[in-house]
Amino acid sequence: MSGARPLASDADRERLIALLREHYAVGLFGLDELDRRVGVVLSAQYLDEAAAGIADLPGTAGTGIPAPGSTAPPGAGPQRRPRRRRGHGHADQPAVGWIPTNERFRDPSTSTVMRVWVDPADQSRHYVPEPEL
Amino acid sequence: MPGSAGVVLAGGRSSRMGAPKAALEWHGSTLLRRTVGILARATGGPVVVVRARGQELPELPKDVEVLDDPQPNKGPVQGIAAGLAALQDRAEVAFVSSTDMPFLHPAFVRRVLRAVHEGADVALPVARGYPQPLAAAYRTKLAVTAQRLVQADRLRPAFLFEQCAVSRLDEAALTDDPVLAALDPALESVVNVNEPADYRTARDKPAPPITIQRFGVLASGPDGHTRPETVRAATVAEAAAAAGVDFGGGHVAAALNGDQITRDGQTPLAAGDTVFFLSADAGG
Repeated sequence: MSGARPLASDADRERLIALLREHYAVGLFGLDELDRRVGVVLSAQYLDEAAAGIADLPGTAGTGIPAPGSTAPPGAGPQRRPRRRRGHGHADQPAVGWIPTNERFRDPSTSTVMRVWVDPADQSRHYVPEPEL
Repeated sequence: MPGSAGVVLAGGRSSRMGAPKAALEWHGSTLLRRTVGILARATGGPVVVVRARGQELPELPKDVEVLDDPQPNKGPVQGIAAGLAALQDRAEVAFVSSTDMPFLHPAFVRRVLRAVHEGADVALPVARGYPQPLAAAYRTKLAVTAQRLVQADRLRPAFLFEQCAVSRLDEAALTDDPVLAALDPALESVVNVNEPADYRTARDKPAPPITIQRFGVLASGPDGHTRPETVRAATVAEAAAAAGVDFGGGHVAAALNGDQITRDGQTPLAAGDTVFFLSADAGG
C-alpha cells in the first residue's frame, strides 16, 4: 500500500456517520444496514476504508470523501435524493410512551433537526422534529 | 446549537463541604469534569471555567478555557461577568452553571437556552423551591451590565435581573419540554451538593440508564454487531466496563449518540445516551 494512503480521522468518521444517520432517517435503509455501515466506518483505519461505509448511497458527492472505486458521476447525488419524502419513522409529535434519546441529526431533505425517540414496546426508532433554537 | 456556550463557576469556597467541590470524585471522574462535559455537549460551543486565582483544578479536556476570577470573593455576579465577557465575541448566549450539580442533564441546558434564543436576556429556572441563577442562561452582552454592578458593589444576581428581561421558567414551563420531562422528570438537574451528606447521597444513587452497542471484534454476534443493551453508567469508562470492553488501552473508541467520537473515558453520560464501542484498530 502506498505511504500516501490517508488515515481516517475521527472528524472523517463523524461526518460519515452523520451522513449514514441522515440517510437512515429518510428511509433509504433499515436499522440492520445502518448498524453494518456504521461498523464499517467506525472500524476503518484508512479513509477509503471508512468511505466504503457510504458506498452506493445517493447524495454522497458533496462529502469531499471519495468512495473507493466510486463510479457515481459527480453531481449524481442530489438528483437521486428523495424529494421531501417522509421516511420510515418520521412523526410530528412523540407518541405516548415513546422515550427520547440524546441522538439528534439534521434531516437532509428538510434541514430540520430531528431527535430519535424509541418505542419501548418494540424498540422501533422514530424521528421527531426538535424545537428551533 | 449555534451561538451557545457554557460557563462553569468553580471558584466558590466550598466551606460547608470542607473540600473543593470542583475536585470531588464522580464515578471515576470529577464534578467539574462532568459539568464541563455536559455543557460542551449541550451547547456545542466553547466552555469557560472561572476559578479563584491560583485555585487548583482537576484535569480537564484541552479545549476548555480556564479564567482567573479577577476579584475573588465578590460572589457569583463577578464570575458571571468574567465568563460572559470571555465569550462575548463567540456566542450570543451562555449557560452558566455552578460545579456542584452532578445530575445536570443536557436536555435541561437546552430547554433553558431556548428561552434566551426566543428573546429573553436571562432564562431563570425556578425549580425545586428556588430560583436557580447558577443553572441559568444569560445573553453574553450582559457582561457589561454585570461588571458595572460588581464595581458598584451590587453583588447579588437579583440586581442583574432588575436590569434586563428575565424569563422565569417554573417547573411546569421546564417540563413542558417533552424531552426534559422524559429524561429528567424530577428536575434533578438543579440538585446541588453543599455538604458531605448531600454528596454521599448523590454519589450513592445509581448511574443513569444508557444504551450501549458493540461493533466489530468487540461484538459477540456473527454479523459484527450486537443488539443494543441498557446499562447504568455515568461516564464512557463506566459504560465500557459494563459492556466488558477494555477501554483504557487506546484500541477502542466510543461514538456517543452516533456522532461524537471519544477516547476519553471521563466523557460524561446522561439518561438517554447511546454509546457505540468499536475497535479503533484496522479491520474492526
